Amino acid sequence: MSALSRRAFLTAASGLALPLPFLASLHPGCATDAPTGPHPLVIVRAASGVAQQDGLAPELFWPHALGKLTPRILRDDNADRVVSELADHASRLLMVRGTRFPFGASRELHAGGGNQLLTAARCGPLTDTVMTYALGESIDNWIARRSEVNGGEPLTLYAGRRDNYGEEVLSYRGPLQLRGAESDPYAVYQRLIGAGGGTTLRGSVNDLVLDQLAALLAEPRLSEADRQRLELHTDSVRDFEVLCSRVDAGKEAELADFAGMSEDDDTSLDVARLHCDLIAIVLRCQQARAVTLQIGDRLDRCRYTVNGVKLPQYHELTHGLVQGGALGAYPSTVEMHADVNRLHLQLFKYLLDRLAENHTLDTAVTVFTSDVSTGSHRYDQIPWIIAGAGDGTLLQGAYVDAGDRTHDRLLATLLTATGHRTAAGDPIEQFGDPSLRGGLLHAMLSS
Amino acid sequence: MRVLALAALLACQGSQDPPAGVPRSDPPSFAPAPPTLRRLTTEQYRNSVRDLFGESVILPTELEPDLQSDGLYAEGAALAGLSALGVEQYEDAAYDLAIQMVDPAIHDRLVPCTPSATVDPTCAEQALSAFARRAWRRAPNAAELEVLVRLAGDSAEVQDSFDLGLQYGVAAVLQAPAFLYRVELGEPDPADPSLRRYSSWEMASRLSYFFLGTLPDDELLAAAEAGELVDDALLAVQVDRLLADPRARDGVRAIFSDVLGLAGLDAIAKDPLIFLQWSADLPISARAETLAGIEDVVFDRDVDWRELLLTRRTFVDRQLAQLYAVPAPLAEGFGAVELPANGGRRGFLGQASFLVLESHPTTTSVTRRGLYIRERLLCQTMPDPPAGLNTSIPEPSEDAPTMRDRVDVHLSVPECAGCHQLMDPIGLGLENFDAVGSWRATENDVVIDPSGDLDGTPFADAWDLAGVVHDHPGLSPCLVERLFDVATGRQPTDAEQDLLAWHAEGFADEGYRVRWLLRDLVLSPAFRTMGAP
Repeated sequence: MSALSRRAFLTAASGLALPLPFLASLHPGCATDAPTGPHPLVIVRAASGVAQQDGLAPELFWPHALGKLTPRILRDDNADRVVSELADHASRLLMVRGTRFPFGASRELHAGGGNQLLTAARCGPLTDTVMTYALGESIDNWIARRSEVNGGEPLTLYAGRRDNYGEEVLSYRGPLQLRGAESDPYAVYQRLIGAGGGTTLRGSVNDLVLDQLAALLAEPRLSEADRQRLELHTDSVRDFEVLCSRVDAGKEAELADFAGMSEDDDTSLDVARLHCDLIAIVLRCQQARAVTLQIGDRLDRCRYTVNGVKLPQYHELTHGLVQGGALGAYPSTVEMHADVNRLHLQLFKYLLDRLAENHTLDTAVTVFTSDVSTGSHRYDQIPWIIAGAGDGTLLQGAYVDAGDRTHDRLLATLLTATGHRTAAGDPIEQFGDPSLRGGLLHAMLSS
Repeated sequence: MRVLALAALLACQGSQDPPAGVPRSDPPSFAPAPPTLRRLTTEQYRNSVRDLFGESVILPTELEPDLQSDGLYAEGAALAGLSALGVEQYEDAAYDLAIQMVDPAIHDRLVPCTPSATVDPTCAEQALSAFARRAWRRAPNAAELEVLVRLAGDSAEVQDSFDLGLQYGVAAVLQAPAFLYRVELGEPDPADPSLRRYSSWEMASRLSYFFLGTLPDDELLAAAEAGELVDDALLAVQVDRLLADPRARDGVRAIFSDVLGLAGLDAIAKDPLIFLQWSADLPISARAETLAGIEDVVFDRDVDWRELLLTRRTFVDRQLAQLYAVPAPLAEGFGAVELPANGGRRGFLGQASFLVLESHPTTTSVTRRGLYIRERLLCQTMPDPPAGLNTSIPEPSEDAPTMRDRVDVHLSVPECAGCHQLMDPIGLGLENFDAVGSWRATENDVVIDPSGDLDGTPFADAWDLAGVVHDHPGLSPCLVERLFDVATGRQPTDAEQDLLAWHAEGFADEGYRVRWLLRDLVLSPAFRTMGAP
């Protein structure tokens, strides 16, 4: 109940609609205690697959060998592979290849991949010549609605340009009910953390608390032991404030500076990093159970900059549609694809670093994935990189092959790893379309 | 001279006074000790919140745990710090409470005016001033009030609601150190400017938290604000009023629960396969029995507290009746019963609370029971066992069937015997009570020998031991010291020992009546004056 109430207050103070009824707090048991309950799930999705082996295209993404992952193995033995970017966190990682989407696309393969990635549901009918929507609920929504945190809603974030068509792809409330994503981290910050409303007011509360503490500390009649206790209290107020109620002043200014700049190619990854900062605070404050961060729209036409060189549009280069002088110093588009993958994994590492700083990396389950496996729109070999132990059921420090299983089983395994169970207390083995056989993906389990 | 005036006042206080014709000596001189800064215990916080919001309030459950020092939570409160998690828990609690202002009963209690607009500083000030005065046990100063009113106004504007705005102010008051700590800084004593005395506001808190376990009521606050609680006669009036308040029964229960360490019963478990009479409810019933007896002695009959050691009168429910083999009360709940005259059980040392508390999960503990009597009841300090020493005792065997045989190990090893001689022989006197307090004549089919001695006075069994403890010269001075600890949040200093002895002497002269002692302690100069840190 506690975190909910605080959040309800802060949200109320930000002037937006309350996601929680205030009256909920009046009835014991109507809200859960925040520190308990399932582990949070965070999913970062990049578009257009990864630079893994596909036909004649060489393997540039995965480690050289299945098996154990350590910082040394990733850093030294796999320096030529994209995943080496995550070497620092190797012992917490589970890399999974060998899953595929269970269904084909109605028409456009990017849209179809996005439909299925977090839903394991069939694609719906064409709404025009290209777009389809999923016929099922996504995993973030499934998790979020089982908790009262954030009003039973997942946190849905977006970084990248918007072309007013086929933008969000990930989060579904139910069949055909695609959820909009929030692009502006400053707006998210204001809504969730309460800047400009709640934070200011909370700051005023803490000002009163700190003023009283300071007045007491200035009192010469206080014993040294009592002075130390009040100094501890003062530090605790500040620690808690920094940890939970607001980002520091510099970061807040940075958020404000980047307000509205999510769509700019040159700043979209910076904005994504600010989203990561917020995710870390949101998890620390237990203000959301499920978070998705979508990088780019269903295609992602961003022109990323690598080592000072602005590359061609990402979607085009993943399809090998860049030739001649546009390649610059790159031998082929595959290497370009790999370098953009590195940017995405650097962002993922940034998120993991922030989670680690906030002591939530080990207990959360944090996932990097894409909604097609390669630039050729393949629906097998979907990339999954998972960080964190969740409830301890996931293997860690390992690179495994799922054996060409449908990815609904991976999603079910993620639900298990985040601590969800059936009413009978059994693991959740069925997720997505009812026609799927279900089951856990045993290659991912620690025992 | 103020002390003499106090003595003169006491001679005019009717039934609470010393007996006519036996003038009490003046209190000895002493050096006042520095004040303590006590954080509200969890129980005090909850009681205070209940008084602020009314009976319908839903109380917070997760707060920074209390700290125990010298066996007392009252002393631990003066040492407890606050972690970041603790800050978070207090913040959560404050908002959880403030939100409950939507309850009309709570709203009407906290908002004495009708706002004229969404932002109404006058009404907000009226509400927050009264709320902070009660919660902080003092009037908020102008700067504090200005912050609170501005906070409520800003929030009201954002949320477009006066009431929602006010909730922020209320939550702020509840997170303030002035609420969470009992701040006591004192003021110069006009009678002797070289001394500092507790201010009238501070005395209100000292009295109320000691007697009632909660913040001062309106009458006490009014007396505080009028400066009455630094006046001998007017202070005595409030003391007598509080002691006559029905809530003082709960307050005294809380004091004795701390003094006797009964909170330890919350974490007790016994092996149900060994003790068929064990249930998780037994510690709850056992504590209720002991506290009902104390309430009976202190309030219902106002008699010599040492009766608690000798009395066969006690209060049992069905579970305790079965344990003690006495008739169960006819109605649900607790009823008074008389223990059999020849049953071997009488007084506190025969009660399940003590016997369960100071036993192991599968066996009795003669050491713990003896230690409890030495430390809790007689205020004697036992040294900790040397590090690395094997303190286990052997399992029962044919050669050593009883606990007396087995603890011979302690008593035969020189490193152990020094201390265990002081504890184990006392505990052996209680061996007729097993680890859940059930009577037994034998252990492993061998008749138990419960004889022993306490500081040179022999006893034949537990019945006798109760009498020896009752007559022990250290017993009542220890209670005086422990109640002083609870009242002040600290142990007495060396410079206060003579004063404590004076209180103990008065206690004896007054027939060892705890109500008299409670009154005497809060009127004591040691309770009313403070030294430099």
